[in-house]
Formats: sequence, C-alpha cells, structure tokens
Amino acid sequence: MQSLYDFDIAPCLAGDSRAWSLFVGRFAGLVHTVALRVMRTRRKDLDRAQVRDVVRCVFLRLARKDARLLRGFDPERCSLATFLVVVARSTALDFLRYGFLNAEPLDDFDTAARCDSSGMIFEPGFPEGVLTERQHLVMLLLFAKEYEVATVAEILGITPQTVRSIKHEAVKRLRFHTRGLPAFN
Amino acid sequence: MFPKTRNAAVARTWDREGNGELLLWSRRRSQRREDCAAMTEIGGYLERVLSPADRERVENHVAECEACRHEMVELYQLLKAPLELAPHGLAGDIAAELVQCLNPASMARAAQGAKS
Repeated sequence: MQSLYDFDIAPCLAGDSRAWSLFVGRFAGLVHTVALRVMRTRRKDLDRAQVRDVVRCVFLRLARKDARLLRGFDPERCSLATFLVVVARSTALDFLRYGFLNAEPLDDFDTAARCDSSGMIFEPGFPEGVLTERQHLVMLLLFAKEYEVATVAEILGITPQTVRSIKHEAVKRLRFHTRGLPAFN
Repeated sequence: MFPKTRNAAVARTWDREGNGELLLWSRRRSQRREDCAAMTEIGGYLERVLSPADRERVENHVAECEACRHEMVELYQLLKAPLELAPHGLAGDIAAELVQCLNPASMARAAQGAKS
C-alpha cells in the first residue's frame, strides 16, 4: 500500500524545481507539525511566526549546497518521513536553545539533540548582560554547536577573521566579568 | 565547599587560559555518549526497518542509556502525532524561495556522481 509519504527524491536531488515544489507541498504539514509540537512543549509564549521560520529553515537546510543533507538520507536506516521529523526536531531545538535559525546542511542534526530529551531547554552558561547578541551567538556556535570557525563564518556571512575577533572580544569580556570568582572542584 | 552554581562553573571556566573554555559545556557533553545511537537509527528502530544486527545494537544501547530512552519516547510521540495542516500559503512561499537556491547544473552533476 502506498503511504502518504512515499516520495521519489531523485528528481529533487537532480535539481528539478517542480519536484521540490511537490516535495515541499507533500511534507510541509509534517515538518510544521513537528516544529509546532517541539516548540509548544518547551516554550509557553510561542510565536507562530517563529514556527514558520523554523519550517522554512528545515527545507532550506535540505536544499542548500546541492541538497547535501537530503542526499545523505539512507532508506535502509529509516523512512523519509522519519528522517524529516529528525531534521525538523533538531532545527526547532537549535532555534529554542540558541535563537539560531539553522539552515546549515551539516549532518549534526542526527546527534546534537541528545541532551534536551527531558523537555527542558539547556540554558547556556554565559552570564547575562555580558556579551552582545552577536558575541553570544558566535560563542554558542563555536562551543555549543562545536562548529569550526570557517563554518560559523559561512553561517553568519562574515570572514573567519571576524569570527576569531568576535570570539576574542567575548572571551575578554567573560574573563573580566568572572575574575575574582572562586573556582569549584 | 563552594556550591556548584552556574556562576561558579563560569568562574572556573574563565580562570583558566586556553583549554579552560571547553569546560563551559562539560555538563551538556556529559549527557552524550560516544556509542549513542543516531536519531535516525532510533527512528528506524521504531519503524522496524533496521537490520537485525542494528536493531539489537540499538536495543542494547537504549536499555542502558537514559538519554536515548528519552529521545526514543519523544521521537515516538512525534511520529505518532496527528498531522496538523501547515498554515495557508506556507508551502508555496517556501517552494518559491527554494527555487532561488537551487543550482540544477551543479545538482545534476552531484546526482550523477552519487550514482557512479
């Protein structure tokens, strides 16, 4: 019996824009359902526009760089629908954790969500009001997402040197803020 | 003894030069294990599409890893969730945006490369 989610992705991988339209039409409801549920269970003041942004990012993530992420789908591992559920959940969690609309086609979506299983969103350990929004994002991408400097530069559309410079300034601010505080063992 | 508050963790982190920065996320990392199953594998386990050997490996791991058990439960709930319709016009807007970022020539080459 044919399932609602049976879909041949080969034309999408070959760059057929009509196939991509059909793909989005077929799976937008599923991705939206997952993003909405993941975000609704973790954030009370949910903004529907943010859910839309996450859904948009999921499809961008799948299509970017010659559909690198979708190309990595392995039907012997799981169904296409499950693959999309995992990507959608990871993208929604990245947004909730880091305020980061992740359109990067990296395969870390498959492992990086591991620690939020309790339903709680892990709060980064940076003290409030010390870093600028940009410094905060760069530090999260470097230390929480563990992306390389080059990847962070690409995500933010800046040079690697600028990323290093932002990190350097953030580290200086944090060191200044925390000096004198005792360490624990 | 100094309590292990977030501030204390930050203090320890930034008191050290260089590698000390990595301690910031030690709490987070401690919940992830090297042998944790990938989420897609856990999904494949729930769908019963894994090979018997992979199925047994995931099953043995999940039996002893609380984090993966939680992941499995949430994934199961997501897979079983009733489908909600996407907001009107969302799919069309996304499809229009995707067309802009597709490069058919380069993608066809990549698809050809994957086949050979």
